[in-house]
Amino acid sequence: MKVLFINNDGGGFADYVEVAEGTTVEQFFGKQMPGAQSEDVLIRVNRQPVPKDHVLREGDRVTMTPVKIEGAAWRA
Amino acid sequence: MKQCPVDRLLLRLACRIQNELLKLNLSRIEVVERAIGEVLEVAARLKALKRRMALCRSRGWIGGLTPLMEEAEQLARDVPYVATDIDRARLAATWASPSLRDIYLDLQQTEDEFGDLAYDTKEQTLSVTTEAIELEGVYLGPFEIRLDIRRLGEARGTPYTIEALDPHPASSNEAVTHPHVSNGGLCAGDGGAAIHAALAAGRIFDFFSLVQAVLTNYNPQSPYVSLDEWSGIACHECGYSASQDDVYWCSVCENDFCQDCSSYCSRCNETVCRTCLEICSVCEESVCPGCLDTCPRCGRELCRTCLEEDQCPCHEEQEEDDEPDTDERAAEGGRENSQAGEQHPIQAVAEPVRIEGGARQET
Repeated sequence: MKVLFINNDGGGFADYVEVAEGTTVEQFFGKQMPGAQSEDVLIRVNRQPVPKDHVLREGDRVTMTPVKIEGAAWRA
Repeated sequence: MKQCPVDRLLLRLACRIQNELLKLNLSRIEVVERAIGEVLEVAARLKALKRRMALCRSRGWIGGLTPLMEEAEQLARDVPYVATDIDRARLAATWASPSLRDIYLDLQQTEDEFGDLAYDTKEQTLSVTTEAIELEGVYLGPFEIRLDIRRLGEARGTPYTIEALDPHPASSNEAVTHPHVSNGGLCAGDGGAAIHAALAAGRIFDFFSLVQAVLTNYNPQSPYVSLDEWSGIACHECGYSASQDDVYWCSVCENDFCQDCSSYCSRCNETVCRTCLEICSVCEESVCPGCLDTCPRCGRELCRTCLEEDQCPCHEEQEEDDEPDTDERAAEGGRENSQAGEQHPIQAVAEPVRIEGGARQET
């Protein structure tokens, strides 16, 4: 099945990705954002925060947004 | 400024955002067209080159082929670049325009989670307010993230601003209300690309969330003003934010200065900033304006000590002028001086000039 994955980390990638039936949010997060800590990312499915054992379904809209982003100072 | 309740305007607002994003996508198509035009231009030059090469070959003009081969080499180098430009422009233009429903839901989500989504109908700005932000113990207050709907359709620039609602700017720069905000502009750093992508895709909620994530975090590697120096006292001269203990008050201009920009009067020892210090024209010491005086005879500016000790060059000049200027006296003095190994009166007249010149050389 396919879900729309919006990764707001880095370049802000958004695309449909293939996932296996019964995939949980935790599994999906581990696969899509290896090395990232779950507490540093806000995960929403269909715009709603969900628990990590939430099972994804066909056509879900999964958004992962980092809660801490390092800003900078613009240099000419 | 007229603030309308957003719940009545959400759909209309979603339509407006969608229209602006459509403009953005159309402008990106223009970029693709321009990139294709560049490829066609290279292709036209290659076609003309091919014709000339065929002509040279058919007539056996070997000499004429050399520059044509060089041109072919140059054009061959250009081909991958212009082709890449097309692909880059095409990729940028393939962000699907979001549906009206998606934008509407995003606005609704923004309103639900931020609580105070406001739409200014006159300025056409959409804004949310963050909680009061405190970073590493430094209170910065709440910020308004304001998105200019009219500028969403611009391919370049930043269509949003950040306004501190309870400003606690850096002491060294009032324009810096947050370590990563200057003059209302956010330097999003690592979040820049994601914010840009969210806006381009009409993901309004993601946009506000990302900006908030930047505002609630501090990157000590690259701030406009470091939080360590946030509440220090700004040097009046260079703007450096120094702690209370490292600030020096100039008794002349009555401003605060950092250690590098302050000094002291070598006569009265008062702390004075470097700008207010004067240089005595005789001893060349740095003195405050209060310790600087004017020679009543020549008007030269010199420190009080030099004045009191009659060190002004005009004093010696005056003494020489007062001496009898007879050949006999001069000859006598000359003999005396020669015997004593001292200078000739004529040389003595020139003495102050040499002292002055010597002093200048020291400078």
